[in-house]
Amino acid sequence: MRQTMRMSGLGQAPLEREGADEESFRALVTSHARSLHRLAYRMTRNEHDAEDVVQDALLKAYRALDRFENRSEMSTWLHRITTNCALDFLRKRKRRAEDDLPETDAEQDAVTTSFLSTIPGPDQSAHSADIRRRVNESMGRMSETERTAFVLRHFEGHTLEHIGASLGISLAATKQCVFRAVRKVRQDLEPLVQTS
Amino acid sequence: MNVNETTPLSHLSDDQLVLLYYREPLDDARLDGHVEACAECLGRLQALTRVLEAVADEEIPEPAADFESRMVASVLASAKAEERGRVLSFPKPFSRMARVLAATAALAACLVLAFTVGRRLGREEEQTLTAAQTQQRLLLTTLGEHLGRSRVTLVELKNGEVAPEDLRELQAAAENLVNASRLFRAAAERAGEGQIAGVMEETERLLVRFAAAPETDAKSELEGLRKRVESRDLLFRLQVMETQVERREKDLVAGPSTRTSL
Repeated sequence: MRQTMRMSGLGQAPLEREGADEESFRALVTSHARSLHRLAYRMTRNEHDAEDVVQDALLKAYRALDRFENRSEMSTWLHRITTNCALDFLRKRKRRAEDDLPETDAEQDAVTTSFLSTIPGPDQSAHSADIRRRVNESMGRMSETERTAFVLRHFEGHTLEHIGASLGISLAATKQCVFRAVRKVRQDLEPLVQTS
Repeated sequence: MNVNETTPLSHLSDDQLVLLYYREPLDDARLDGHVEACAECLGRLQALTRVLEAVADEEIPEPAADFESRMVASVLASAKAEERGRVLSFPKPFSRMARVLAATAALAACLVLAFTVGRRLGREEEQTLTAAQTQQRLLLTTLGEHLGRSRVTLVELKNGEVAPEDLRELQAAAENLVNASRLFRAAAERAGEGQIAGVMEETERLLVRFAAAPETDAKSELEGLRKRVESRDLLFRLQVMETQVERREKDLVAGPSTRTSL
């Protein structure tokens, strides 16, 4: 166990004891885990996957806490790690899906339906269930980069410039990702929103 | 409409409206203030806003009340296991599994040795071929056995009736399987067997959560593990991987040049 942990983002002094170390980490998780879960869910569209992503992200954060130098806010830092973990997860899931690629369109449809049907949800009105279903469909049609760019811009409020830097792509390419994502969302949601 | 082709008199493109919605700068400064003066563009912006606000209103499922405590427990357990590389003693009912895992560790050591020997023999071309074949066979055999053991353990965890007093023992067994799996996964990654390593990593990820759960949450974590194994077809995928490894092993014995790719 590390001997010191700098968590200046939480306004805490270096800690020496293992118990205190764990307590600090517990406080960090209590403060941020649910917002990280929301981010991970938006990217993965699946509760179990979101939990796995958050677990991965928190483990990475825990390992790197003693290198955290308060260059940015703790929350921003954790969200960045979670975004990267979710992106890795989506890429792996895509590779796995490609490996198990069905041979016919009908099988492809079955896989898509199966993927969407695994997304559980609490009791809710028919309208919000419909919205969720359509958002899922739109998100499912986005590439990993489009989805990440859209989630970071739309839900996390990051600037396009910042998103481009996170994804390692140009500003112009980032804009195109967001534009394509919004087009897909509009195609699926516009009819629903217009009728409501 | 292309962003760069827009003139002050024309309407905003859909993409420009998106930039406006997100309060991002428009590429053409002459368009600033256009939407306030143009009823058509204002209407289109309002339509876009309605759609994007509907997305923002989407309900996100909240994780269970014990989410934070489970995350803390899993992360701390993983971190401690990594840092200390500790080995747990097995309770009696799982001593058979313990013996299997001890053999696993020994095989993993053989694997590492085989890699080292293989590299040294690589100085002479003819010897490299023999060493490489031996190394690959050893790798396939041990990986196949490990995949089989992982599958059997998951079947036991998934289907067995578990009394509360047995939970801790099952958790210990799961933790030991995770520790063994890490060794094999590292070997698989070094050998470029990414697909096998991927399935192992996923298995580990599921097991570690159950293994790390505090006593009070162990039962619910076991239920969670069962659902995840089911929803991801993990048993089926392990079996497919095991069969493929077995087939490759047979191909290797049948003829050195044949290789069935995973």
